[in-house]
Amino acid sequence: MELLSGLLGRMSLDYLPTEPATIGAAVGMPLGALGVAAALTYFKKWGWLWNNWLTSLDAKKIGVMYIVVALIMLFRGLFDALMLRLQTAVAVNGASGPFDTDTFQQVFTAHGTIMIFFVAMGLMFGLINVVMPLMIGARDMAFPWLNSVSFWLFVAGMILNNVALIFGGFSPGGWLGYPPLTGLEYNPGPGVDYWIWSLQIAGLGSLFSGINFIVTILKKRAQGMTLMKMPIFPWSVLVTSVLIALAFPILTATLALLSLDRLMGMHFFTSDMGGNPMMYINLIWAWGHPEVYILVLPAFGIFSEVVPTFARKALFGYKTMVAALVAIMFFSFIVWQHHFFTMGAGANVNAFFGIMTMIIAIPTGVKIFNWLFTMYKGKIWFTAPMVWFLAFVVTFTLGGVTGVMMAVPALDFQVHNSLFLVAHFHNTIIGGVVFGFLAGITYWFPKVFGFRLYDAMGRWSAYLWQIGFILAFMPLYILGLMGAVRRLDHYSDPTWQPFFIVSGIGVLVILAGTTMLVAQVAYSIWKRKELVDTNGDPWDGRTIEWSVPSPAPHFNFASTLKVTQRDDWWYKKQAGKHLTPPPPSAYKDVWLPKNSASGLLVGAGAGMFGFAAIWHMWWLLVVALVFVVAVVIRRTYDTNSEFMIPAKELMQEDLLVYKRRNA
Amino acid sequence: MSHSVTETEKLDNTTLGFWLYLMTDIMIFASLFATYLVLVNATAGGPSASDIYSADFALLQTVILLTSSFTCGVSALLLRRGKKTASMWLLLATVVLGAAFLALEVFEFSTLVSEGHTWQTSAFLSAFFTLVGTHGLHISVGLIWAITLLVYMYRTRIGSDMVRKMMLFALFWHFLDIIWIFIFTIVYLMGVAS
Amino acid sequence: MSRSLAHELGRYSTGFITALVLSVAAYQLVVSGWVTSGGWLAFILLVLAAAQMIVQVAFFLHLRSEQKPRWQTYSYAFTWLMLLVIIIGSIWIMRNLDYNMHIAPEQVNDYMLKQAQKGF
Repeated sequence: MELLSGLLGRMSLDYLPTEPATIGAAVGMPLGALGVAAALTYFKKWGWLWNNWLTSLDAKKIGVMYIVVALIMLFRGLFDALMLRLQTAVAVNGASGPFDTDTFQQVFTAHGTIMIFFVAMGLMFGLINVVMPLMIGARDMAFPWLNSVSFWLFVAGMILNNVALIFGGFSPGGWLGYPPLTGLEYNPGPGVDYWIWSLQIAGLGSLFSGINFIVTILKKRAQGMTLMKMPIFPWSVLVTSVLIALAFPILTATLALLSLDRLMGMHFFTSDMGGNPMMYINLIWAWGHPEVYILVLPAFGIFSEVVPTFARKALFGYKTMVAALVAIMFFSFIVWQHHFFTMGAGANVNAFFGIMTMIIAIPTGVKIFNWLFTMYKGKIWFTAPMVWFLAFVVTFTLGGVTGVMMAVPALDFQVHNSLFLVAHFHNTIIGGVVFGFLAGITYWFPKVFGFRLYDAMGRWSAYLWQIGFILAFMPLYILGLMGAVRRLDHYSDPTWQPFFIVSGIGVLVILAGTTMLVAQVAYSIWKRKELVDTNGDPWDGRTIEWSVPSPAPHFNFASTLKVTQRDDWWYKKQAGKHLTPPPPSAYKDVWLPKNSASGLLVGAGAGMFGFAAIWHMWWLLVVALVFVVAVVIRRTYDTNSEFMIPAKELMQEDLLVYKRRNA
Repeated sequence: MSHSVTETEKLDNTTLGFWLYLMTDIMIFASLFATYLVLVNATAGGPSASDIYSADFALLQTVILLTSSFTCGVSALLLRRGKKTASMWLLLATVVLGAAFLALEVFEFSTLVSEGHTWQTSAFLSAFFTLVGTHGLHISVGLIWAITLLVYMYRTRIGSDMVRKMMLFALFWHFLDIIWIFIFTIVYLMGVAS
Repeated sequence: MSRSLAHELGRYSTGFITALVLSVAAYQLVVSGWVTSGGWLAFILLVLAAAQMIVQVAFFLHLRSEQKPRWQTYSYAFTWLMLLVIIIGSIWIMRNLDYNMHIAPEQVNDYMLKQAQKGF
């Protein structure tokens, strides 16, 4: 018996789910995974999956895998949202609603955590991986293997997050898990630990990605591409990565301190023995505020590429765009206290951070005007990415305006922690981040797969998302002003109910929009012959990623590229230079990283480590740690990790591309 | 080896990448320092900073670590000049000094615990053990790294790869000394003076 | 690699000795009790620590001789800026919270009235 408890830590059958909704999910998820595995076996696709995807170090493929995981998680997050709104549509007065309070708490925690860390971050890293190297003329990331490690740490975090549903339950503490509620005293179970380790592991992956992206952008740009000739998307990635590199360590440290409270009985954030829960709130927001800019800046970068392409005009105010990004890089670190104006700081502190918050709205406003001026007098082509952009302008601006409202401490005291706040940040995150990334996916899809997405369905998806968004969140503004607080699972005022019902319908419409997105992909695969991208440049693009054939080859660029100006590809086309192939001397042998399973192994080891820490299985903790260290050391001393493509082969392939282009 | 990425380019990229990792580590320590400074007076009836620190002891640790940083730097310098054997001796000295530093820290911690002042005693002690312990953890990782490096140097002929590995280690070790200056000043000296 | 080995060794030794002197100076200052004001002592100690950090960065980490573009130097400076923002900001906020939250409930009304009289 003692041996068993040594082996299994604090596991017991009591941790199996008992509540019907959770049982459904707990049974459904493994069955779904089993179904996929069976299909892979039946179609004999395991080898293909392993060799072409899972072990690939090609940034574009890693990017696609990020996006696939993120889209699956988007559905999980949406179903969570649906459950929340189902509850609030029903649970008024005597009616209890379908979920008990504890389940409801776990659901909103899971919704927030998943949407931020595994959907928004996943889509972001995915898109960056797919196009950032292409846009700066690089063959790959600076550290391709580290890139794969980042991805698998992200997957390990995602899996831990979902395993909680099957065994042990998730944290009820909200997406930022404030103590003392998440401390040992009030939540001794494994739920909070699932939350901690899921974020800790995924966060570590993000940190590595941030470093990787910075070095890639600073060191691997094409010849002649000075920073001020670089497109805005890589610029936004650079700034985001700096924020990641400086903010994510704060998250790592904060979660570690909370974990020390829980594992070793320390007193950082307990309410006794001198601990100070307010310090946790201070620290987590010192990460949390830069985090929202980490998410939204790449989306801004995407729109800065989409709008000029579809308006057929160079971006208005390139330099102010860069200046705005750099300003945000600094200011996003000095506004964090506005998340807890009401915690009890004095007027001086609140006023300082309130003013800083209003100031940071200025560079963001500059960007909006820049895009609008780019459209002005342009020949606009209303494709799906452009519709996403227009939806973004309306939604995001509204979110920005309510944000500035709440930057006034006096007003914040009224709406703090209310549904008004919930509506505000969904305005910015859905309207800014999600719309941006969906536009980006549509825009760059042909570059990766060689055919376009069927545009009409993309537009419909955008319309549905926009309508659903208005239905889901405008009622929340009103409810917030009426006094409804966030995370409310039951209320007694029947006049609120109609608003909650409308909001629930909104979630259904958003779900329909997301389904339309998947249907669009399916339909486009079916019709891929008609949608094929023959010349690699389906939108008559401006930046250099459109100069390579679609789907882009592993080596990205056949010849050594020389860039002379912004929108280099566009001006090359204007001058007719895109029709003459470069001289043979421009082709050099190219070394690329071989496939490697060790990134996946590191992810597996990290996942094991987290699982062991959650369940107090100390032997497994040690085994996992030794395993990860061993894999890393072996990889460090591996001298045979690259393969070569000879210059001759590259030239022959490239000449075919030029032949097609001239035809 | 005619890789498209030349050796110097690789060295450049790795150095910058590792440097940026050190920057992220600085932010981890920044969070721990902030927590320590906020909680330093939260003694909850337990001992306060001036009760448990000894300036002499901290100075001894400081001198040992600083010396190890010096030997490590010179070791890297010599390896760049192709003097492998001398470099290895100095790296060995670094390991010995680092181990001595770590032993002193373990001694300090165990003395505190045996006196009943554990990390569970108060928020102040939680913060102290975590901040100083995190530095100690980094030192331990550095020691393991240095030992594997020594084995590698013993077995392999000198080359650009070896110089690169040594340079990264030297960066790490100097960085730990810089963090220690602030632990020495903010935790120990200011603690004694308070 | 134009400089001689002796020259570089000399630089390392200079850095080492300067750092040593600064450490011992800080130690002496605390032990001797020359400076009686706690605030000044803390300030001087921090200045000495900062000086030693700069010495080590210059002599051991060679940031001075980094080639252009000096990304390491820039990133180091920016990290320090953000570090100071986080530490000073946290202390400022938390002190403020401590001050305000340590008022007994019955005193809150009084406090609010006083604040109102002061105006913004």
